[in-house]
Amino acid sequence: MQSQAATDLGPSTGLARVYTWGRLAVGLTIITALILEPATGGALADTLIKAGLSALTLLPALGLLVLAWSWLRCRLTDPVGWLALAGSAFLAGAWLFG
Amino acid sequence: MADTILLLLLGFSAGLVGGTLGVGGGFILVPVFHTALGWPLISAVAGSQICVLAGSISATGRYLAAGLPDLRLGMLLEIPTMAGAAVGALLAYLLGEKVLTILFLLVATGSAVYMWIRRDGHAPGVESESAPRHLPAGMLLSILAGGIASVLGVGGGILKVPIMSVIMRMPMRRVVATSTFMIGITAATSAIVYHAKGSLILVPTATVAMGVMVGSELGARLQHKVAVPILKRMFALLLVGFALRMFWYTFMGS
Repeated sequence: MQSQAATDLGPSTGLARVYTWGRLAVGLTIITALILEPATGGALADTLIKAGLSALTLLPALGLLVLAWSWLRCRLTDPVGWLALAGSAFLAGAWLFG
Repeated sequence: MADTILLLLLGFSAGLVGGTLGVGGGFILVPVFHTALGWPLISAVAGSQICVLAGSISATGRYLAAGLPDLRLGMLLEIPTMAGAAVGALLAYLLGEKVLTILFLLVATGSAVYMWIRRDGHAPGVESESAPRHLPAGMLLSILAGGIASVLGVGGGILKVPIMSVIMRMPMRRVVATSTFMIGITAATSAIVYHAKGSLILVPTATVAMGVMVGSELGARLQHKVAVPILKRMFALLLVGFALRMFWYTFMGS
């Protein structure tokens, strides 16, 4: 497990980047919507919030894709890498076809 | 304005608990949304799942920076959990809601007592970095955890933490971080559907989610400062509280 923890350093960095930038983008979109809501009425705020929440629900799929890429790049037969890829495809499919 | 501040505070509180203890906080948010705010149950559950996802994304980022989550183990346990969630409804039909609640109450109380009294044999606040034990048992129990979580309508962190801590003997801080990563994936699965079907009450849900993001980030930072025995006892209390609430809900009908 020690060696696994070492190989996790790469995937961790990738996942952390996706989550950090994603969270920032979602947060800024929603805060903008909440600030604009009293002045512009509901429609614009609702559109922005929908876009923000939609992006939020896509982040785990992107995160798993980054994990799968990191693990499979090191070893193509890594079963956990394929699990992550399957999970990412499942979430992305659900997001696309709702 | 006052409503907005209250919603932010609600989200902050749920995020703080969730980020510190590796649970989503759905068991706090759903009753508040449904009973206190008067939202339809489906909107309450949908809003809760969005907030759990927001909290997981936020706290996982912090835990990753500290190198805590065991991502490979998280993936290995997440798949059985999702499979268990899929057959959870079937389990409910076979056993009945009351039998499941009693089963959960027994397991939760047993795990809580074990976490409360267990001594690890090393200095307080310091944990060994041993590899997870009993992986097949952990994966098997994750199927059951997914099923029970599906039946009870929660994200499952409240069940994943005892499995990793009590059965797999993992260090508590790593358990909390790994559980936080996993509940985001579980919550995303249902949040995507609820969002696509338009079940969300947008502005209040987004407001609470913002509070959750801040609270869970702070919770993940605080987790480093709380001694491990205290962390375990906090989780044990949470587990018993949740089990009693489920018991009350099932047998008293409110």
